[in-house]
Amino acid sequence: MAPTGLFNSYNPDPAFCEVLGRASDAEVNRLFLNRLGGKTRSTLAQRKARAEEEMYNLGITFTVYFGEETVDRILPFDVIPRPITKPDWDSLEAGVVQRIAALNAFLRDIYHDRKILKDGVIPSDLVLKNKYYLEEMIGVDPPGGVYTHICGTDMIRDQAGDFLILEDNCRAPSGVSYVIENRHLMMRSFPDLMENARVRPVSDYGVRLREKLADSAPQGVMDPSIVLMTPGVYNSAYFEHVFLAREMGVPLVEGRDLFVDRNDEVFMNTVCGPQPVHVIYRRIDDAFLDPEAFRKDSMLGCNGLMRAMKAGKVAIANAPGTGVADDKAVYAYMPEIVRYYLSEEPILKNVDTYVCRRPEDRAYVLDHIDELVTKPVGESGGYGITVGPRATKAEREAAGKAIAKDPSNYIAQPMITLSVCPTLTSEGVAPRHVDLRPFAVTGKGTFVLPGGLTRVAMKKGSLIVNSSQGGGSKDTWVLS
Amino acid sequence: MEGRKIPGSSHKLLSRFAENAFWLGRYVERAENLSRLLAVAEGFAAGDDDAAAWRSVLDTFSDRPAFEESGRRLTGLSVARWYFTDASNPNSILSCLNAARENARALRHITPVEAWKQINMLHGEVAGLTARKVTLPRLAGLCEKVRLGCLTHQGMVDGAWYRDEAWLFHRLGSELERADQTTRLIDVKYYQLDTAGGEGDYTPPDVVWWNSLLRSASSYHAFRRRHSVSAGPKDAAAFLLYDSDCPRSVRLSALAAADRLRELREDYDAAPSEELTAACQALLSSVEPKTRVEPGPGLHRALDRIQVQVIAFADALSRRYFHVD
Repeated sequence: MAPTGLFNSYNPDPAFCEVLGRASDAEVNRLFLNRLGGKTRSTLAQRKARAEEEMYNLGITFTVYFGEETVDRILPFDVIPRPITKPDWDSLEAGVVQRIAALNAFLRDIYHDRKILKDGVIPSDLVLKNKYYLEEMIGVDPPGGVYTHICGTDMIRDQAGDFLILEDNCRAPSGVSYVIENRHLMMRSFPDLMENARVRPVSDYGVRLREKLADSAPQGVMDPSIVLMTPGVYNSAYFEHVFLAREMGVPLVEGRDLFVDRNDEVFMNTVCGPQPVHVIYRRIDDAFLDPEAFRKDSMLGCNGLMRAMKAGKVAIANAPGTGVADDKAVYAYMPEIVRYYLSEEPILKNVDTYVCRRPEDRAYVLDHIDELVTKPVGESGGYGITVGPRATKAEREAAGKAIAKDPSNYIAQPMITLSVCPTLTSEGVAPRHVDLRPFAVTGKGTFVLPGGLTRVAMKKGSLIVNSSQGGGSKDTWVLS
Repeated sequence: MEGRKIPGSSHKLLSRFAENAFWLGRYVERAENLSRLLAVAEGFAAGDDDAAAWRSVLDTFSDRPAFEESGRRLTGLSVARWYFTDASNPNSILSCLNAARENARALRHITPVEAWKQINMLHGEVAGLTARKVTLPRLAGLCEKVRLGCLTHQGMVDGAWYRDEAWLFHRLGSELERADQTTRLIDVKYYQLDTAGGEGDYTPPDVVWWNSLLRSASSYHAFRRRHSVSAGPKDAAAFLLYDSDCPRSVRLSALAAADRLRELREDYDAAPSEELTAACQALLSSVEPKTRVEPGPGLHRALDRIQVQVIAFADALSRRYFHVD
């Protein structure tokens, strides 16, 4: 069916469009092309303004620092949802579950027998010399063998409409609060759009998270006391910590509220005296978690947490030392890792990745640097990236030199045209690039929240979806 | 009242949150009292000696030295701005709402969602006021906005907050702050009385003056219902101090605070310390009802004693529940 109304002058070429690319799906057709397509631009604009005001008033914000000044910002909200059809979701979900099973098996192995290293599937020093590899975790047995309880897998969709994994966030992925709040906003702003829509609910995330964390309690604890540990009110993701504590119904603690006694048991200070703590969902980096084990100058942690974990008295989610598994160079080996532990073919593909420490890869990268995106492995947030097709000659030469000098520090990937989704802009409804971060929680089994954070690059043509660079978000509708 | 809770239903609230809730209650109550006082001072000063009326506001909070140090000239407008929008004044409405919001932020996973939203918006409104927007003609309207905002907050606390220990500490904070604020209100009027010409020799304040005292505590109409037309300042002071039904009287606030301690012991398995029990008893004994109050140095001393007792109460509370060694 030809696009009508709102989508009249909408043209996503050459990218895959999340809506038009799946126009043959009955529910996409009904909800998007017919129902949404019949609305006017000004209706959408009015509702967007109201929704954003609501977000600000509710304090659904992240904190931005300008020197001494702090400013509460909202994540720009786009009112046109991003659909995912049932067949697409079913395969994506199976892929995420598989990936997480492999990540947990890998983490357990590298902190125990290191079979994968002995078998030569991954170079040993890539793992053992990784800055996120923690000696303290060697031989430690987290309950149920779960290391990454909460995982947010970054995905993109290529021109053929296939989902590819871009990054495994195994440490403390954030953004799930927006998944749920965006849905609340959509339900309030567009009751007419959502009526009888077969969109899978996301509101039970907190209950599922609590259930999976309880699964991971130390052995013998019947009714575990669970807490969420935050660095504090000045953390930029504090809203999300509040949100998750509230949704789970657990205390939101800081390091200073906790202590570990001589029997390695963890307690929190309450008005009724010390109370035991069995599971800690921490949103604080490994380095700051426990001054006794890691950084001595941490003001945010609690002395003795590692001691308590090793003694089997407390479970920490995610376990310390999971950062090795989402390292960019280890990422390149993920298809091998899946095959090695699960004897299955990976359901979700990686973006092709050249690991510059491998001589044949390095030679290819240096030859094709004008076509490739090169990235240092140890950095995040887009630092040190050179986008070959868009870089100047001097930039490309500099990147080539850096790779030749320290090849182990670099990977390279082909430039992918991210998929687009119709987005409300000042020029009307226009295609903008999106990515996807579904969230999965693991205890006894893995639950993948049917939805996810869809980030959208609000600038025309931009591939950068990060909130720090003008990215916004959309509600993600998993259809059934 | 006894045994309302199912035994063992305590939520074992973190000490830090108990403290946040206590201060949220205090700061909102303080902002409300400030807005009441500023509105009354403005109305009162309009037809009278301007500077004296505003000086009395500064005296109420012992803020004269801090104000003079700030180098401002003492005019109605400068005092009003200093108390409304001046972030450098820790006792301004803006500073109180800042502190209230920060405490509310820490408590966000416990408080009703609408309570956070409301305090966030109220704070936003006041923080968005530039000094130039605060003028004497606009002051009454601005004060009303703050007063209504604070009362809305208290209504949400009453109507939507789950009755856990955090709620209880919030109430305690509001009640202690109210007891303290009401004594300060009376004290400034009687402090003026005392200094007007000494005991036995003072000119009775006119009707406008003591009516404003009652109005600033939202108690004028209640007082009228309770007392005959011949009632005077002595009755007004007694009403604000000892009435058992006036929601802003010191006595009712102290009784409510004492009730909270009982609830902590009986319902929450968190009995007060001996020190705290004693501090509470001392405060209660100072608000034993009397029907009339003799103004003069004796009253000033009695008010002073109550303020010291409120401080001792709060300190003992902190040692028992917030900062346990």
